[in-house]
Amino acid sequence: MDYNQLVTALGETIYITIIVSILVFLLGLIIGVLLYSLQTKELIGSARMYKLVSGIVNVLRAIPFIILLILLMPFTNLIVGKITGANAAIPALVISVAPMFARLVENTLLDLPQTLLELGIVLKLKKLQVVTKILLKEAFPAILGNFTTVVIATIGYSAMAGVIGAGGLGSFAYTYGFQRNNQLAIWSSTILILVIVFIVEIVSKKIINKIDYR
Amino acid sequence: MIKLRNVSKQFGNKQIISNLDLDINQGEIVGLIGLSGAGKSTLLRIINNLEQATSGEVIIKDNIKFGFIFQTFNLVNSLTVRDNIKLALVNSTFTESEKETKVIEVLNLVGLEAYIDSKPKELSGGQKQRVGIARSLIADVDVLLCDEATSALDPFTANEIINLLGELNKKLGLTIVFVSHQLEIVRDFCDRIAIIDNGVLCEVDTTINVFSKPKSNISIKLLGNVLGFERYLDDPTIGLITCYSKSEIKDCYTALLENNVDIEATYQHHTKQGVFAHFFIRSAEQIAGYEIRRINGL
Repeated sequence: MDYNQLVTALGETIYITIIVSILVFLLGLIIGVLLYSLQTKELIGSARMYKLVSGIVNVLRAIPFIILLILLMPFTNLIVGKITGANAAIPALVISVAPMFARLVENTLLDLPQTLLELGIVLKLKKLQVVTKILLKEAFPAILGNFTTVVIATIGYSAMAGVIGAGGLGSFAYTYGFQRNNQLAIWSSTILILVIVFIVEIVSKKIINKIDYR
Repeated sequence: MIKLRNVSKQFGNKQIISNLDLDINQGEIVGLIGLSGAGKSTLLRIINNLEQATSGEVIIKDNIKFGFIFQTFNLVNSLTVRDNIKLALVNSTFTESEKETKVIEVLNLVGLEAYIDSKPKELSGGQKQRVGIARSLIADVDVLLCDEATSALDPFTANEIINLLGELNKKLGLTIVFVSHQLEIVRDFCDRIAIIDNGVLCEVDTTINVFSKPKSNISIKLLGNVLGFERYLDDPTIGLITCYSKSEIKDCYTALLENNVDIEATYQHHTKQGVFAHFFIRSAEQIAGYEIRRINGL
């Protein structure tokens, strides 16, 4: 087994996870807030727009990731310039995972008491201020908990993307482990992925414990 | 200060408030009472523009500022007491140091200055409600709309909050509209009471009048338990004498004893407007100087 290749693959998985997580957090948060605002009459309140955005989110969530990866190859080629390598996996991962996070953000906001929204209105806050200064502040620990789930899903998907050439530990396990029947390569990449997941969970739990005042 | 004229509110086909007229004057404490679903909270929300009336007029004096006190306190749990209160000043023109001074001022008023850096999780229910009150006060409100403000609190803490609201009413001239189903609190706290049933205003009068001479059936139903009516509502042989001062109560009691009238029960109440007492008597057709009412004929 080539240890240098393993280290490179580990680096690629961490790279993909970090970039995708940042993009998913920003995109998912914006879409989640939009979904919530569209169905809240005190904010935007547009049933028609909600149906449209919600429909797009549902479609993107319903397409199996591996098929989305193939479907998006022309798009990936357009913005990344190639269809293999770590960067090539990013668009498909973001498009697949961000709708999932958006839905979780939407549901977290819907779970907040309606009176918090009313508080913003009573205090004469602007609509965006109601969202940023009250709702997201109150929902943040729960959103962070959901984000952890999404990051872990991203790690899993990135391994899947690796099988069709996106690099990372999934690619390493497939190329060096499966194709060459090297058990050590399969197990070492599996253990490294598990370690990354555990670290993400531990760090997330510590942060949530620190900020959670529910 | 606030005039409601012919106000109605419908949710779909359901009529929540019907043609309601009510005046609320500056500096007074008005209690809105009624059964659950009677429309009292909706009325409060209409006054505060959280809901729009389907028809009718809500006439509010210019530049009146409203504060709203929620049953569930409604604090943002991730923010400190200071930042929760500062939420009311987000769009104000005050500088940060002016905001800080104002926060300390209102926390002094509600007696929570030591908790400025605490998070809501570290506060008791009563303290949370004090923060809610402080958050309203910092915006220099004229009217405090309280929606079941003491319902989530134990009786002792509820009384503390009522005393605080009473002090603020006196000290700052705050007008208070107080929705509650805690009738003893309403009796001791409010200057006037409006009784609402199925969205209709059934009765509005001074607290002592509503409690001593309830006019509508819903008033008797609501207040019956507090006043002792409930036990006698279906007994045509029971008569009622109401006395409005300590000396009158004493004289009446003496007269009843002298005339050998059986006294079934007595209830004495203290309201903001004074003391009154009910004597429930049996088998007395008349006693000189006292009006005897039959309870089922109220």
